[in-house]
Amino acid sequence: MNERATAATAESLYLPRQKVYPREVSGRFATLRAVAAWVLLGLFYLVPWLQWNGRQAVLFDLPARKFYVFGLVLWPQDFIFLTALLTIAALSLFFFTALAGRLWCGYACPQTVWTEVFLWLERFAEGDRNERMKLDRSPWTAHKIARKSLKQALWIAFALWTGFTFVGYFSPLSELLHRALDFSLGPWETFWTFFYGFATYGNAGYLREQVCKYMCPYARFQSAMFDRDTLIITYDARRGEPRGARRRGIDPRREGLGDCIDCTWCVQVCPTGIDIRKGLQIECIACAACIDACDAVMDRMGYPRGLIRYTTQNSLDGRPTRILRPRVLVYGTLLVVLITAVVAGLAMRTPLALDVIRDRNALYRVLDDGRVENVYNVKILNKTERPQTYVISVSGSVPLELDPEPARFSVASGEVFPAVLRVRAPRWEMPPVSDIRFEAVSVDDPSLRASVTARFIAPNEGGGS
Amino acid sequence: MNDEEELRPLQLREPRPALGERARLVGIVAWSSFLAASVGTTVCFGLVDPAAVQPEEAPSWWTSRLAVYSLGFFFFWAIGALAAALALLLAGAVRMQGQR
Repeated sequence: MNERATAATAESLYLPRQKVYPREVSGRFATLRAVAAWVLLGLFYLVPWLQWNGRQAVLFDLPARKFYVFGLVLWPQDFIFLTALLTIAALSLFFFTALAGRLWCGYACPQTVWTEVFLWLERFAEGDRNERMKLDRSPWTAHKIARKSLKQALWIAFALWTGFTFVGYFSPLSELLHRALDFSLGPWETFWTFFYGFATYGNAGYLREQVCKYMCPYARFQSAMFDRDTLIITYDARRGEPRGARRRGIDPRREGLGDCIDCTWCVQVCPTGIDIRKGLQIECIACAACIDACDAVMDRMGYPRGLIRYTTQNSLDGRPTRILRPRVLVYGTLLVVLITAVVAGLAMRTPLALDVIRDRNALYRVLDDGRVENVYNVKILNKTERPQTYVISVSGSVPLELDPEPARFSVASGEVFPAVLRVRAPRWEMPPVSDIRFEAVSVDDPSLRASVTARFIAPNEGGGS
Repeated sequence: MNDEEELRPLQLREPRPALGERARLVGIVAWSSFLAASVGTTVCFGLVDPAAVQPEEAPSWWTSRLAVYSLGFFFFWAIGALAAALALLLAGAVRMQGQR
């Protein structure tokens, strides 16, 4: 009883969600969106199949803690690059949002792109908008069951393939496929395939525009990057109003009408189900479907195109639009600086890391022959894809002796090799504390080298007096 | 678009049972904590290698990197969900005081 009362208030707080049946649309922007979907999804499904030097070209090998991006191999030590790449992605989003509004949402967001594909599959199985609406209203006939089953089969197959491809970015895809065909996938591989597959199925098949409206954080803060010079999709109310139905061929001005014939095509094609004629709304993902729909109607009526168009608030108000504005310049400069830094960092990065720590047990040891010895724990990390042999040398203000000599170490690909090195120096020539320099050089490739500075400690006796 | 008929307004929406308020709140908690868990998992396991733990010191479920990553993700998700749920609860109290 009480619960029913609560439920009733809950219902009244929210408008019940009404299913949106987007009408198919064709035109310039629909073509652009289809091209974007093909390119992006094509990349997503094909890239993990590419090979490079006998391995998967793009592989974020989580089990082995190595990221392969074509010729580049990144290790956990290169985590900074991942951080920088994510920052670049975020800044690009800000930059393009300030410049051209929600380009990301309309053309590139996985939610939009996968929803588009699920809509294609739905259209294939259930027909166009009117047929789909009729089908949903009709009782469960054999025809309806057949159509709905076909749609579900297509959706589930596509979603599972998506989940499988997703896992293929983290675990080698061809091995994964072999194991999948043998039904011998590991429990976690199976789990993540189904998890991502289910997320795709639910988000692109059912939640659709609700993800943009209720779940997307970007939709909430993107307006902070908007200003009066940002490209938005808007209805030209001054030209369109007062809207109204009319016979073709009449002069609307004489009838006191604007150019909008109130055919509601712009609403019917909208994937988020809004009416663009009510002005800019947070639900608008800027997919431009309404532009295509309206342009087609304007063509039929013999009116000029662009009643709904990409424009800026300033240009709508008859003021000039500025492209270069402080926020665009700031985002752009940050972006250029960061991209330059990452490219330079990647170019100058050596696939060899040397780490030297003084042994903690003793400051120094004075040998019988009067020399001083310091002990160092050295770690050599081979970040190349081949085994390497490195020679370590040491240099300081006086000639130093290294033990073992020569210090040659073979390090397998991706391995960290721990070594203990002893450095000896004549006692009377060393100040109490001095810097010495270790250098590792690859035997096969002398350009592969790294050096590091360490402390050498000697007894504080000063010049033997 | 080839006959006059199609230019007339159509029935625009089909009403559909809405998600209840509680389901929406659960959704908000699950989703925001999912995003936070993704970040947390990436940073945590970018810095710490599960395989670096000595086998004799590891708990029984510490079987492979993939297992630790996955369970770590669910751990972060649960912690994130707890924080999000508490935040919603307390925000609700603030809102109720504001209405009084």
